[in-house]
Amino acid sequence: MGNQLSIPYLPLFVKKNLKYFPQPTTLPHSGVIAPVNIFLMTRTPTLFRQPRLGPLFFAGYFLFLCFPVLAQNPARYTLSGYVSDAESGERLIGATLFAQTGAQGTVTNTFGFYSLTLPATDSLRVVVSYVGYQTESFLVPLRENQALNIPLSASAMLKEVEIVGERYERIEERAQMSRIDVPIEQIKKVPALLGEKDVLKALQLLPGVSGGGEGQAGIYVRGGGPDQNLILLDGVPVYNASHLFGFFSVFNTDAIKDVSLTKGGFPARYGGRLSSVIEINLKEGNEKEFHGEGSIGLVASRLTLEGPIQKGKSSFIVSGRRTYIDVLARPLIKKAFESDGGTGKTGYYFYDVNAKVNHRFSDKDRVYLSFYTGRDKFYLDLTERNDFGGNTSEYTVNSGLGWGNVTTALRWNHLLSPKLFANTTLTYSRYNFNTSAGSTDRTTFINESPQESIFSLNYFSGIDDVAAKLDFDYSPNPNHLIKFGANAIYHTFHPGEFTTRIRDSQDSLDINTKLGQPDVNATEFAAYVEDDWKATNRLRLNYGLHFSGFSPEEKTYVSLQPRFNARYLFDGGWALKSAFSTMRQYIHLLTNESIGLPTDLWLPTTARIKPQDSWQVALGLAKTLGKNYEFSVETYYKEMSNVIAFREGASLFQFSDWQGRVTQGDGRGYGAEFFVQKKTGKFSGWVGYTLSWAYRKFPELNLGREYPYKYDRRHDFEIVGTYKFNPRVQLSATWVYATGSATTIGTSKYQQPDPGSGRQYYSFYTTTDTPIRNNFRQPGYHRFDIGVDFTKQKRRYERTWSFGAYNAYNRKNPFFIFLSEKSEYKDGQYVQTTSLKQASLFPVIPYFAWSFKF
Amino acid sequence: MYKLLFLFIIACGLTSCSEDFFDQTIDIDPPAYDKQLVAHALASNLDSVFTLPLTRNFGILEQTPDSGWAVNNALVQIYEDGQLKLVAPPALNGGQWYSVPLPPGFFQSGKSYELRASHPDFTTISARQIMPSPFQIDSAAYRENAGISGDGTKLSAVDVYLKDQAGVKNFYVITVDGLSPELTPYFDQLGNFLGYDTTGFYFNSIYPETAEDPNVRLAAGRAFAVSDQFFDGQAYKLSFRTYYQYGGYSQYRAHVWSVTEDYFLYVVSAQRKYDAGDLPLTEPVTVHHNVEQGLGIFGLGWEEVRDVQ
Repeated sequence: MGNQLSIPYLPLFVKKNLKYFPQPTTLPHSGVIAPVNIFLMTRTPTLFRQPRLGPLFFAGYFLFLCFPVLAQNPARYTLSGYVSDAESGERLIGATLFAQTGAQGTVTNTFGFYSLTLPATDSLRVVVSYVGYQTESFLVPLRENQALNIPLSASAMLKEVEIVGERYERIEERAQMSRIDVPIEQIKKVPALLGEKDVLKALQLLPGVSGGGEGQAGIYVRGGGPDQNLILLDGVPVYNASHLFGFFSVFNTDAIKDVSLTKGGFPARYGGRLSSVIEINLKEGNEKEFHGEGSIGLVASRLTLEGPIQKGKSSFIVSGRRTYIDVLARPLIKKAFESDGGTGKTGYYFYDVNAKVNHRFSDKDRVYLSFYTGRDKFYLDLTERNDFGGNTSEYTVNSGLGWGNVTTALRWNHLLSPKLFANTTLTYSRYNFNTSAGSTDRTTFINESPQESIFSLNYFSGIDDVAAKLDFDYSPNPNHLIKFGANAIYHTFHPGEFTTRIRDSQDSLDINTKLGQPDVNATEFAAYVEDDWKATNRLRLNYGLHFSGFSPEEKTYVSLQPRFNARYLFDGGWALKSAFSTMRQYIHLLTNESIGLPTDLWLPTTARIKPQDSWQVALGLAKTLGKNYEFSVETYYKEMSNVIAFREGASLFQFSDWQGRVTQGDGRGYGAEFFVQKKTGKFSGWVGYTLSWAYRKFPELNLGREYPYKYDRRHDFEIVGTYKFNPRVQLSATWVYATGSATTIGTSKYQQPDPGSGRQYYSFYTTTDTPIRNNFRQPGYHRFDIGVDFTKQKRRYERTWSFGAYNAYNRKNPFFIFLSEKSEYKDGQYVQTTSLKQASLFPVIPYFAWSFKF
Repeated sequence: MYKLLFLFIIACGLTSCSEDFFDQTIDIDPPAYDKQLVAHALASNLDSVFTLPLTRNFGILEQTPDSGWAVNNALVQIYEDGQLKLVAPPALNGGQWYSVPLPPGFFQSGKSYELRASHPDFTTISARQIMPSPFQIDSAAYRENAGISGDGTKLSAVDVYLKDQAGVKNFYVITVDGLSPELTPYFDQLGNFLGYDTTGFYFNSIYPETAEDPNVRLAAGRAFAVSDQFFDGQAYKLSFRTYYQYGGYSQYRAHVWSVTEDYFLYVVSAQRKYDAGDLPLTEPVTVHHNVEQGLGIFGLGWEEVRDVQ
């Protein structure tokens, strides 16, 4: 295949827009190189030639001091605009533009924007590519700044055309390492528990990521803790990403456009967490046509609607999901209550709603408003009535458990110049957990006023964030892409509050008290600057500084964190990559790592509790094998300090001062990750293998000695594959293996002086010896999931039947280990036997779902 | 048709499963362990007898008869600065206690003492400690009003004012006994009751309540323990706070030890493990041991005693 595409005609809409070229005579000749699907915007040359930086002057000045390479060349012009999906108008993140004239390239940012400044030419050949889309090649004259929006067609829409210059940013070209992009379509194909497609569970299948316990949606990256992942939904942090005690994540895949995971080599724009950044971007909504999709599954149903509000200018998307086990079980529960002489209801459900609207006010301004809310709720309402000789009594129990997140983001994209893109974001994020338990006992005797006693207990905890963020992308020339910005977050922590009401009309008792710890407010702020610099054709660097600070009530912490990524390209396409990054985290999570309890408590750094810090180095090789197989091997070493953990003997269910229940120490992890990924074609998927070690060392835990981290997994292996037999049938399968989690089990039992007895009067009790924390390895975890989709195009919609099985060969994977004691009467005496048991959670679980798309 | 066939195959597959196919609890092998001797002892300068309970451990799934813990016919020895000084006679009648009388002031400050216990069926265990230095108690007093506990109960305290030695890592443990007089009635020659004589005292080891100083830890043996890292070289008030005894004791006896670091770590961790026993989802506790090739603790402490009214 050559580098040229021969197309005998120009599409009509391209011809219509040729008038916008300032020098139409420079257009490519038909039959040699033709533009395909190009839409040319107005050129707005005046503004672009004399960019008015206004208040950004000082920031610009700083950049010019830092990066002398930014000096302007008057003979250069800028080609800028957006790359989008031709069908829906969705902006494409990470699409690659490559100017073959001069061999320079760039990549679209989170909003699909690109900017490429090149020497003036009459005929600039640009190749635009994006995974899963048809690569486009076209010629443009570059005699002045050009604004050019480029729609790409999905590869499924391809007709028989010869593709030229297939060229997108390959893994070996990126300076940044330890970042994995998983196409959302691929995530949707991964077989899932009960058919609920899940982003976080798909990320668990990547090397370097452990998933915690059986069925859990937790994420443990390179030996890090569950609180060390920055999960951003449209740029807003999500604090608790779990539904149903961690078995599902809160992200509805139908509403998601793009997912990426960064495990190390963090660019300077990221901060606030030690171990990973998971960026999830919601779809913007189809701005050309109204569409919808949905599904009915075993536990939940989903519906997503999207369409234009004003064609080509604004669009919306609304997506919702709800479980209905409670609804289906309601008649049975009602009957059960009635058989016990009462009435009432009990159940559990969760729901989530995503909504997003965007509007393009001008070629330079676009505003996005996105909203997410999700909540889990358990409820029990029970009433028992008794009538005895005209006297009546009524006993009512009401209790509930609820937790959930709300996030809102208002984002304004503004093009200050063809080289300078600005995004202003205002966000609100809230996570809260509340539980209530109450009872009312009302007794009425004949001719007497009723007697009533009330008891209620409510608990509330959570975190609220209000944040503002300003981010800039500056592309002075193709060799530099500079990002800089600043943000501030105002946190309000609710560490836990109890409200108790006790009232008894007979004893004239009325207590209404509020106990707990006061709210804590803190401001977190950060600023960063980073440069992605193509130093030579072989050497590419991404370096920068991240400055952050945190001000709880009594103290201010600040930190300057250098970041560095480098790539050196060898002959033969092999790239050697290295990275160094330091990170700081100011907020901490008190959680039980065994199961995803909603009692997660986010707490701030205080004068007593220090911020967490880490540094990480990584070294790796990367290459695209053949045409489609991305291969990488990475080694890393990470050290963390002031990691938080419960003290020995502490429990989640103690309600004393949280600072007294935690302790801080160090952690370290190192390992190697191997990854081969194929993103396109009939067969797609990946194979990953991780060899790793993860340790913790706390002065107050395990007698100050280092011990293996709970999710220290020596081997972690995963295969994910999807094969599309034809447009109607698709088979997916995953197989995972991981070394068992480390847990603490007594190795022997012995007699010890009873701590409760005084020295004079020894008594003994039997206890177990645990020579080291996490001394026991649970059996290895492995699982095979399989799913098949049957898709059929109906007259007005496309429907898919999905069948599959989670844990297809019914592996009994460990959920937890416990000692079981049993007493049996045998041969005239009681015999007590003890055994070590492993409890598993999920046997083979088949699933099916019906989904549709129109 | 093929759908029905598919369902039929699935149904056949499930019905042919073994009985425990859906049983989600299975037995697994326990961790391997070494059969070891277990010893626990704290010796002080005031002791007249050295006593060591010597037992053994068992695998967590093994059945253990009550008499199975004791290890008879072991050889228990105490070495001082590498010289054998004492040999405890074998425990008799299946007992686990090894006792040997001590000459007055046997354990001397600054000297190294090693405990060894050997038995043909076990690997010999040993633990070595250096006797801590004497320390100075300035005074001790009883305080009736020492605050209110979390459940609203009145607290009292025995306060011991000590002077810590600078530049040395010291660890203090305090226990308090309540003394009740042992009253013996006396009579005249005709047998008429005249009154009581105090002929001795009953000792009651008092339970500690929450400490006033957050650096003070609850410790095994109804004790409080504290490290001098928070008051190195300074005067320090070591308080033993307890529930106020209505009616009270006639007097209190405070025992204060300057103990070895090993013993300090043991009493604190053993107590923490004991406290955590009943709480759900508690974090595991590792108990400190210093017995090599075995389990348990051999600690030394310089002991001072003060009686307060």
